[in-house]
Amino acid sequence: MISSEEELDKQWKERLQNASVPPPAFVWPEIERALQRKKRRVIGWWSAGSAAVLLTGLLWYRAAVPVSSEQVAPAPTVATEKATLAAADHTAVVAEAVAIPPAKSHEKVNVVDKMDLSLQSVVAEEIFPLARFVQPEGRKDVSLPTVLDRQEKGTSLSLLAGRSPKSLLREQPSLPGWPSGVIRKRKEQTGQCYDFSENRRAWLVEGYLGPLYSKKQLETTGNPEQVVYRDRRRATEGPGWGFTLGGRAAYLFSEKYLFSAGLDYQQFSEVFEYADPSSIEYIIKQVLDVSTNTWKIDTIDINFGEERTRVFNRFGLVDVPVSMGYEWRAGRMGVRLQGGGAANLFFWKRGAILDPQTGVPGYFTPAKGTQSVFRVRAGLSWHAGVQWFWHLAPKTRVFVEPTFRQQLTPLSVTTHPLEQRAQNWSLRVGFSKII
Amino acid sequence: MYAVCLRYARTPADAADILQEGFIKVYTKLGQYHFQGSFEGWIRRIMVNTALRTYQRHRYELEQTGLERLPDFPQEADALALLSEAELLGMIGRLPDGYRLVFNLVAIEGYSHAEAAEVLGIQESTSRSQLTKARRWLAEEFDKTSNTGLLNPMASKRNNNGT
Repeated sequence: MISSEEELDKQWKERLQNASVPPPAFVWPEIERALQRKKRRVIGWWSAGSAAVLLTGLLWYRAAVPVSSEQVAPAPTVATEKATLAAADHTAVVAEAVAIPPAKSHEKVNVVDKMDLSLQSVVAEEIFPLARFVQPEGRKDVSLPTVLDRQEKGTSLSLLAGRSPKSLLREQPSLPGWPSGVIRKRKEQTGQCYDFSENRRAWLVEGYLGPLYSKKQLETTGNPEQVVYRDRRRATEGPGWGFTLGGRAAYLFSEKYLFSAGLDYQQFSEVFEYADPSSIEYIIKQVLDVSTNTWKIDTIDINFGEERTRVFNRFGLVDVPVSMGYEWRAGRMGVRLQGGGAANLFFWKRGAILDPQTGVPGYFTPAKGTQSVFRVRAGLSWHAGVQWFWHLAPKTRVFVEPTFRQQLTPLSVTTHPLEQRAQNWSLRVGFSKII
Repeated sequence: MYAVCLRYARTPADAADILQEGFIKVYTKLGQYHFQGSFEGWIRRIMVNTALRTYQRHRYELEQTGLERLPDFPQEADALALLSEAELLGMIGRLPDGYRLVFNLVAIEGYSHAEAAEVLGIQESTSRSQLTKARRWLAEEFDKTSNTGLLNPMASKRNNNGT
């Protein structure tokens, strides 16, 4: 049988259109390597900022608490008040029993000046800082005297009422001229946490910043046609990454319970990318053939489905969060559980999404205003978090705080076919100051 | 998909490069597949497009091989059954670039001459002539490979008789 050319073409097509040939073994590793090269490491500025905060905190801690090879036993905490004593004021006297020669008369004596230089240095460097932790009974707000009144007989001066040396300090060998039982306190014991048992109420001021991940929630309102649009939006919009920063004031009202309010700012970006699969773009160049003086059309490139739109959508929210919290403490460290609600003050947005009517990209940025998608304000949300804190100093903490926030009211307007909300996950790093 | 790339490529190495580049595009553009048509067809389209871009980039010219002098001998039905897929792919690969692209698009992929001409940036008449020349080239190559004498039955008989 003699077959036509078309019949022969059909044979070629039948034999080769679905032919299966395994590729060379090196192809798949090459594809894997090429895909890995496409991944880019992004070190966001918030990571650098968090590292800077942590480094600053570590440096501050190192400067405030020098390293001591000696094991420091935890001393009982004492009440602290606003004792204002100049660190360089060597005339300041700590509340300690000191045996000094009797004075001829009742006179005010600068006790420290009467000591020899070695004792002066001990008082200045080691005992002096204790003064902040010594408080006369019943007197809440008093600055320690700069001199002591000596009694005529020059016996040991009594401590400021209410505390004994042993309750304050660790036992140390006595220095010459010092009565037995004098205990010097070392600087390391100033790193104790705040005495919340004595001060059941306190104000805290906190500041934080950290990275943020935003997961978008798109829900239909019951119309089956919206499912297709929802899936298309999910395919064209990526997850959001950004940062959060803020500050708050907290009031500890019952040793372990606290209430806080503040200002919180969250900003995140997502990539919107859309390619029309049915579009074909031909890039054509005309070349003049001078020998024949004719124009020749030359196709340089062909793009299938490449009518692309790529936009970085950005969102920013300013909220007033209000929270309740509960703290557990163990020495210098502790954990706080907190949760509450937030009201949005300001919501800015810019970018593009697929238009529900036309199916092509359209801007929702108010200035460009091609489609109305988002509300003016983001409305209400709830949040919860766990704070792990560490006392650098009695009144200073550093903390790490993973937090979750769920948008309650939809971000989108009622006329939009989908309800859009957001779940934001953030890892905050910050400082607390007890005032 | 490697077989698809082999049909469009000059050499197996070129086919591997096209396959690699095509799969990377599949991976990065996966989100653009909206379930319109079969998934295999979508991937095949990407592979074909990648192959065409490769040769457009390299500005391969449609070569003239002087096959115009070949008589137009039709082939018998089921003649291709004599050869394996690998041999047939090898024959396709030995086609000159222009003939190979047109043959793949029109004879195997099913494009019309107008569509193929638009894709390749040539005239429709050029597409038709290139396809005819590709068929003749393949027929000659087929005879050499299978020794069936389809193009020249007398040559086959002489070979068989040892004369």
